Amino acid sequence: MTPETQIKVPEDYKKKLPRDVAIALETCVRCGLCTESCHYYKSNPKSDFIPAYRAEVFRRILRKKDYSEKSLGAMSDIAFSNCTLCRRCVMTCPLGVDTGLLMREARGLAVASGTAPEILVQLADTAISRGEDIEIFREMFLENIKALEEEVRQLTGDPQAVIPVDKKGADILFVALSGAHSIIPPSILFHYAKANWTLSFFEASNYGVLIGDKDRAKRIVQRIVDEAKRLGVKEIVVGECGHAYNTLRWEAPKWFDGGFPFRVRSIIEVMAHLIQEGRLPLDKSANPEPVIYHDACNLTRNGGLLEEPRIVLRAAVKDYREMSPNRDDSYCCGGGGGIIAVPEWDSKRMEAGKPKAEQIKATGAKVVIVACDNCRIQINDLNEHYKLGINIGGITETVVKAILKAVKGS
Amino acid sequence: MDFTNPSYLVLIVSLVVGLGGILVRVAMLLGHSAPKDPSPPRVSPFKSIVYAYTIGMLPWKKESARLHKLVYLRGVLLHLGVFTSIVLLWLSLFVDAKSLYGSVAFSPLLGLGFLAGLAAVIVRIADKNLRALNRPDDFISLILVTLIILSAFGYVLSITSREVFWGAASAVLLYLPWSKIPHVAYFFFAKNVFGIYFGRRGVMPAPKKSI
Repeated sequence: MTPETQIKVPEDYKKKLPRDVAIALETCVRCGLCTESCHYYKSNPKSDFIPAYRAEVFRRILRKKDYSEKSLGAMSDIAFSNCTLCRRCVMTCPLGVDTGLLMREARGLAVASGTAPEILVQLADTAISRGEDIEIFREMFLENIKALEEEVRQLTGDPQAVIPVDKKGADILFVALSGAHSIIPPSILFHYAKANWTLSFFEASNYGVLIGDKDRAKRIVQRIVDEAKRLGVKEIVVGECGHAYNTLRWEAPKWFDGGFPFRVRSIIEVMAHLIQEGRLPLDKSANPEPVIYHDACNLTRNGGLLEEPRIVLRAAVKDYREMSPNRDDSYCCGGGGGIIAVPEWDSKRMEAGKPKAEQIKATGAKVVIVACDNCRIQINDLNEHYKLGINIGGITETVVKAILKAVKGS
Repeated sequence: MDFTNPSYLVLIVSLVVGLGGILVRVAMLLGHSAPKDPSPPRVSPFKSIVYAYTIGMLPWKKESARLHKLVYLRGVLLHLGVFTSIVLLWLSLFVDAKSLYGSVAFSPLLGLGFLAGLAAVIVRIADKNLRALNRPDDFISLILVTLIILSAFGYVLSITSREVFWGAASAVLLYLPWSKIPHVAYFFFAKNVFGIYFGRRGVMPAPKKSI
């Protein structure tokens, strides 16, 4: 294929776009007022990093029907590596143009035309194939969970503590990420909350969403939906993953006729609820250092969890502080939208994370609580790159520390 | 109404083309599918839509307006100038606005609107970032609406004739279907989508702070 090779894109591609995308395509007047809202532009004030510029590249391709390898490749690079889909620009646009939505659509076009980063497509396909036959990894998964269960028993001092899997009649299906850090703290939390729960066989992350491919995204979600229906749970609780929460709570119901027959909540909402009901024993002295919370874009701006993390942290730490700006105004850390999985974009990622690094530095806090795994990796890397001298922790593990201190005194 | 006046006839034809063009473009927009969203909202999006059109548009509520107060003001003045010109155009179809008591009162808004338009053209040329964003349509649309404001300004002050005003209006209307000017209609759709998206999620208006 040469750069001039024309890629076959359906003639009616533009006509078939959903209305919200069509509105975002048509409404921008290129006033440039979104410019400073973007963390990429803030750390490197190049015109290429203006949100409206990125959207304009996509618009130009559709307007001119320029589906050459070169143009789609350039668009793909912009959509995947110059935008984390954080939607901060949408909040500042005088007209409310959803440039994040356009970038997601551009990603979808890149996938359909074969110009998307292969690694991200492969990650989505791996998750799909895992869902097609769980028997292949079932035994290994159960063995790993047994080992984690042992750790939970040690930490709680309760030999009866369990990590239930495949439990019919459970109220909660907890969908974690891969890794002990995503399973042990919630297991301890559910243990002390006396929750009737079960752990999902599948991990929450959804690369189908990150590559803007609704078909793949739906197939990844389908595994969890089928599991929830099979077990008859009342709700799905999503672990500390921003895009997984946003997907399961807000996006995926649109892909299934009539939505879901169960509720979807984030573990942050569950903790806030338990705390407000006084159902968790907490000792703040377990977390004595100054703590700040990083508002992950998919949890806050795109997820609506503005106050819940603050309710939780105020109850679990001694010295809670805020970054500025925060909540829906917060800057993206630069690690969202799947960029973290592509090693060749590491330096771009570090540069884009500069505003967040500066925000963290300005607070003087020693601990940054992050409730999204991608953000957590990014802030860890920013810590090293910008020598911030901070510790990074998850919100559930922070609460669990306070629980264990209250219950066991350690 | 003077059907023997050629500039009047041109204006009427232009009105049909311009308004018809907007209607066609809006119809095309509505032709796109809008899947239902069954996810249970945290807050009624109605409140958020109202917020998006009202408090959410105030300059201190938008970071972009806080950072660019002059640009915000320029935008407000330009749009006030355009809307004043539209009102004047409508009046001029039925009665010579010059004979209307108080029509000269429009002149400050029109004058400021013209200056805002002129400034916007200059900034679009001078600003590096805007140069990167510009399409030819940005200049054509901006220059045309600035000219309609200028001609309206001249008209209420009896400097130029009604025919000149109508001529400028006809140019805008004839170009309108192919321009970015229909954002005046798209604005409402975009604000609705914006309000529904952030409203359902309970992001906007911001919930009562817990701390």
